Amino acid sequence: MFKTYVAAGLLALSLFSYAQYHGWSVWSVSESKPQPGVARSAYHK
Amino acid sequence: MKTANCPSCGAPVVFRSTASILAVCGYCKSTLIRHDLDLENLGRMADLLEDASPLQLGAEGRYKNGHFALIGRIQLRYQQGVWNEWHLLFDNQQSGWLSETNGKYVLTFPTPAPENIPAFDELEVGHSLQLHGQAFQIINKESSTCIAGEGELPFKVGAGYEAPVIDLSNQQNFATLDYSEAPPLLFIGEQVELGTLGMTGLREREAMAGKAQVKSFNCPSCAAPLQIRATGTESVACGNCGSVVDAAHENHQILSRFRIQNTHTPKLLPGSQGHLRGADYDVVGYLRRQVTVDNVDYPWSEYLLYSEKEGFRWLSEYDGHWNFIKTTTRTPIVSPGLTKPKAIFLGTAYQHFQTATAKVTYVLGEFNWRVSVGEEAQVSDYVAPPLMLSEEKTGKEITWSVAEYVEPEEIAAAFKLEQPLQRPIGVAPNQPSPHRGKVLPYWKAFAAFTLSALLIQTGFMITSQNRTVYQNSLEFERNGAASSLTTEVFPVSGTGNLVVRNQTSLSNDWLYLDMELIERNSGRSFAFGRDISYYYGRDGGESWSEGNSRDEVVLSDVPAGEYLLQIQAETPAGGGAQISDRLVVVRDVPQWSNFFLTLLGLALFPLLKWWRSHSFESRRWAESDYASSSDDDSDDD
Repeated sequence: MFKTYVAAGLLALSLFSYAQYHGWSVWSVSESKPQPGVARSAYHK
Repeated sequence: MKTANCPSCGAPVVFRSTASILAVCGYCKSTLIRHDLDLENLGRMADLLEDASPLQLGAEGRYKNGHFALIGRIQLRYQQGVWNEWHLLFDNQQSGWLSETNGKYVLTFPTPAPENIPAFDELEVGHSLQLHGQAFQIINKESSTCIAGEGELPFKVGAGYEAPVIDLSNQQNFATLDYSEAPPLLFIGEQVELGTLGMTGLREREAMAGKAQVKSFNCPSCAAPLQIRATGTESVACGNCGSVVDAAHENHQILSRFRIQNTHTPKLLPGSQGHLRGADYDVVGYLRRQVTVDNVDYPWSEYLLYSEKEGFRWLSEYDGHWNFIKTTTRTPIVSPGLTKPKAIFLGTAYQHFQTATAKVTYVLGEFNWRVSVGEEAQVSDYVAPPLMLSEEKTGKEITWSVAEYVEPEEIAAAFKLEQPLQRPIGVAPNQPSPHRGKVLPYWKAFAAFTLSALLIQTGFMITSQNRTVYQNSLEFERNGAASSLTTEVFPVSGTGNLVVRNQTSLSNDWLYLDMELIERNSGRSFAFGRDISYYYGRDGGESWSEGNSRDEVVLSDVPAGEYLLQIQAETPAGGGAQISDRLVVVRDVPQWSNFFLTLLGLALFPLLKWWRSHSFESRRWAESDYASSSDDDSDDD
């Protein structure tokens, strides 16, 4: 079990490095667009 | 050494110790007092009770590099049983005493008693007493009677000789105050294992076995057959009628009776034999005890084991959990502790688990004390899995014992049981955790991974471009219609992300930007929409705000090239001031989100292991006196 964790940890670090190199981000946008106005406040008149 | 002839039978009587004033003739049992030139015969010494002690007069051994010989013995009876005091003589003429009780040995030396020793009646079990700079706890207060003696003794003694004694102990030493003389005699020493004394000249095993053969007799109440297997047995409980019979005397008087309410079938029947932890044991007695907490009874079973080699031991069983128990004459150091009391014993710290009054509810077989149903003792348990330290306190005695958790499979194998034993239910107080020592390596690995991730992140922070590739100020009319614009072409080099930032002048307003990043040469595009709004105000005296006038979006893995942005803006209707927007495009901005996401993923394994360990410990402490409190300091990891 511990060896599995170490292996998984090394894999995670590799993925992390790869993602940083390519500028990947979990918060980056996809190519889909939100529907205009969905974030508009209820206070908007 | 002085040799004389017995005035009764003429046999030679040897005084090896200059301190000996009494000798029992080895031939005619005359009790002889030594005077300057002759011996005074006080009459015949009573016979010793047969026992299976491995010791005998003339046996020799070593203690702390000193050679000694056993030159005398007194056999004494107290309320609950019989013990031997062996008189030792070292080569330097120093006297010592080897106390032998049910396979336990304590070696003490006569020590001058302090002048301010309290009277016998002033001392109570549990009290502390300072003796020669050491703090002792009183663990036993008894009036004992001499049964008989043999060999050389340093004082006058005979059958019926009364000896009120106080036993005391601390973590290292054992002491006895003998109030048969005034001022009382003090003996200080320590518990010893017979195997460490290098004894020679012990009794032959065959001779001991001959003395220790099984004796059978009938219950004086119901005539059911009863047996005595162990030497030192004081009472035998009849499982048929509930009589407890005196086993120390041939007349087998009934000592007490109890009403059999429930018949219990022991998992190990008295008479069964087994080999456990390096010694052969006979199961000789069985009893049921219980504590009652919040009107709920918690019963358990205890089995008295007897070994010629080890003496008496105990096995206890509760809900399928077994413990192998040995009593000790050492007294642990008990301290209040931070969250719960602690007991330090032989370098190990035990945590207090529970204190309750235990009551005997059923007895069967033989016991090395005068057992009776209904007898109570206050029991305090301290745990350091797989060990448990228990203090049993009655008005006359404090007994400490050390229990070690034993898997039921080991018990079944030791006693060759045909049927498997019940699987344990729940978690026992001293059950070793299967997670013990297994959580910390995960956290250590996690720390190493975290450090590595931090180094990687720092490397990217240092080497990333983080360069502005385009910036411009834009203005949008508030006309409710869509307007579009296209930026100039701007070059983007290297690898990584592209961050588009909008810093607007929105104030209780909104703006929607439909954006498309287009690579001029390949036509590849990244389309995204941004709904930016910022509102604020006061409501009921409280300030509030919603949204933000600033916006940022990350476009991942944007290849190098020449780009432009096409923007379609949608604004609210109604006119008014223009909405200004500062548009900034930055290349290769280091992101922390991946770092934290990686750490979160890496923490899952250790967190899962910790949770399982914590859950196990929570179940352990659920039945303790600390059920509702934290068990943080009990979790080794």
